[in-house]
Amino acid sequence: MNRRWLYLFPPGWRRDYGPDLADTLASVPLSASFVVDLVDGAADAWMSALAGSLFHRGERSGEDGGAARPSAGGFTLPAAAARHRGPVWAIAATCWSLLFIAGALLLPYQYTESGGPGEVTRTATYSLAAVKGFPFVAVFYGIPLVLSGACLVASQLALRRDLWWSSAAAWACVALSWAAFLLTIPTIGIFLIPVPVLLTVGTAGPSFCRSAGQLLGRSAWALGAVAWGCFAMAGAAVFPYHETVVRSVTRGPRGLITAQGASLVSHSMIATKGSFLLLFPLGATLLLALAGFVALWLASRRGRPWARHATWILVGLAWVDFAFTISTVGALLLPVPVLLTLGAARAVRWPAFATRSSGAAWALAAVAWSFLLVLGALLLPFYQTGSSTLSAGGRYISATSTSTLFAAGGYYALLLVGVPLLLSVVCFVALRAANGRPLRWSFVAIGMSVGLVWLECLVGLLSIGPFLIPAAVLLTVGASRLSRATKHGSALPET
Amino acid sequence: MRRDRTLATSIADLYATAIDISASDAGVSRDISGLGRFADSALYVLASLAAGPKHGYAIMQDVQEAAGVRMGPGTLYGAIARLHRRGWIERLPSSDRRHPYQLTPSGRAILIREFADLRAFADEVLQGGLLP
Repeated sequence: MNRRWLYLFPPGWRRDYGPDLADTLASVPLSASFVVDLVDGAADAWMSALAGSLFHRGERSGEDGGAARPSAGGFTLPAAAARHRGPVWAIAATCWSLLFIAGALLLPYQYTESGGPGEVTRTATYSLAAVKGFPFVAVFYGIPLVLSGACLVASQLALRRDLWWSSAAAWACVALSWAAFLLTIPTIGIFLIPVPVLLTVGTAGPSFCRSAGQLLGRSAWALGAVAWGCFAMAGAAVFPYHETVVRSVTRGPRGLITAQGASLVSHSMIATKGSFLLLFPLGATLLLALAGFVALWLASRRGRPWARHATWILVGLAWVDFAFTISTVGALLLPVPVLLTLGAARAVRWPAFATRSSGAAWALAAVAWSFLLVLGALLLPFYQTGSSTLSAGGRYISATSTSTLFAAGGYYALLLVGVPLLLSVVCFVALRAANGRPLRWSFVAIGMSVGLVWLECLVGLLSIGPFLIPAAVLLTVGASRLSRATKHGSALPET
Repeated sequence: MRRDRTLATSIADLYATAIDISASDAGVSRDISGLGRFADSALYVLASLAAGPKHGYAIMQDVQEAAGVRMGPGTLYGAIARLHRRGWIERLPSSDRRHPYQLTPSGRAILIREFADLRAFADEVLQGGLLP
């Protein structure tokens, strides 16, 4: 009976101290004061686990003499995270917040000006700061920066001073950053999402990853996909979604004033698009994520070979689902296929070159992503070519037509999408070459290709830029892998 | 151009170094008072382990007999976890499910310093006429 008290404590803590505590609990009669003390101790253990995950510092854990326990195939954090844990994530969130402000100050922002009756409506492009004013940018765009900085400081205080309230403050920053994202979904929220994600990973990641990784294996990734699917569905049901409604008042029999105008109304996405959205694509995506979780769990924990094949089929279906809904909610659902792919990929025995020259493997992933982009530009009808409004019996009906990017933009558009593919290939080749024999030209080629892809991301931020970000990130990670290998003098011979 | 590390890791290094310097200046990580509300309990645990390796329940009994303090299991294992994390105590291998703990050299040094501080404080109080 007393052993049930152990479940109050975090899994990692139970693993380290559970048998001792169980023995103690079996030896002492549990009085009310002991129960209170136990609950207090459990709360402290959770807070310590969360605070400790912010910045592990040579934590000694049992007989292993302080070596970090490898995850049992769940989440694997990048090397940078293994060294710096929490701070590197919070610093990344801070850097993103700074970029966010820089974007508001420098990047073009399109807005429509319309005057009174008879005046021509015109569309102009300025920076957001020029349109809304610097105080607006400082206040609203500064919030993520303040939260990231506060989370960084609070996490450090929690670690260094062992103050429970600092850990609580770090978590409060995480919660506030999610609130800021959720409240601004219809406007700038989508650009904010890296901040809450990075802060959450930095604050909770390592401790959760260790315990969840051991418990769930590779299926932990799919569980993330399920969580995201639920999150997207809840968001579609609850959070405001803007819709432009065209209203008109026709002239009445006694010569009433004619009025016509468009107004912006906010409803939830489901209220606007109908409950069909719940079934497809949100429901279908959630179902795929759930099936992927079960398949991965069976494959990793029960060793069922058919489950591994089923996982890859589900991964393929998730990507197809994403591709076909890209013009509507597909972008919102992107994390689902990505997480499922990562979970499934953990089971793959990678080819020798991937394990030996991991930098080139990242670049190869960028090549694959860029190739998919080119395919998407050729095949997927997500590019809006225009909308028309027709009057039909006093009601206005809006119609939007879509086509592929290639059909709309021609070879010029294909060239823009093809450049990242070319640069990714160049980077891949250079990384392979540099891994065998560090050559000056390969470093120049890698640096230039990574820089140029990032440049295209920024320049095309209002059009195809966001789709290029995964390629840019993958190339950057690949390049950093090479630089680490070079630094430690462990450049491996080419296959 | 420094190719050997990314910007983020360089910033993290600088930041961690700055924090390390400030923490070591303040003596935070080397002082039992850094354990906050667990400082007293941790001192009892260290003192109990000075006599030899013990497991959790034995420490609890030892503290109750020697100091008359009845430590709850939550407090006891909160203190043990903190001491363990700092490397001031270590867990001994055991065939039993329970693992006894013992002081490490750094834990012993901390205990000696804490007792020296307590003795100095007691001497000051008793000899300085601070008591009526």
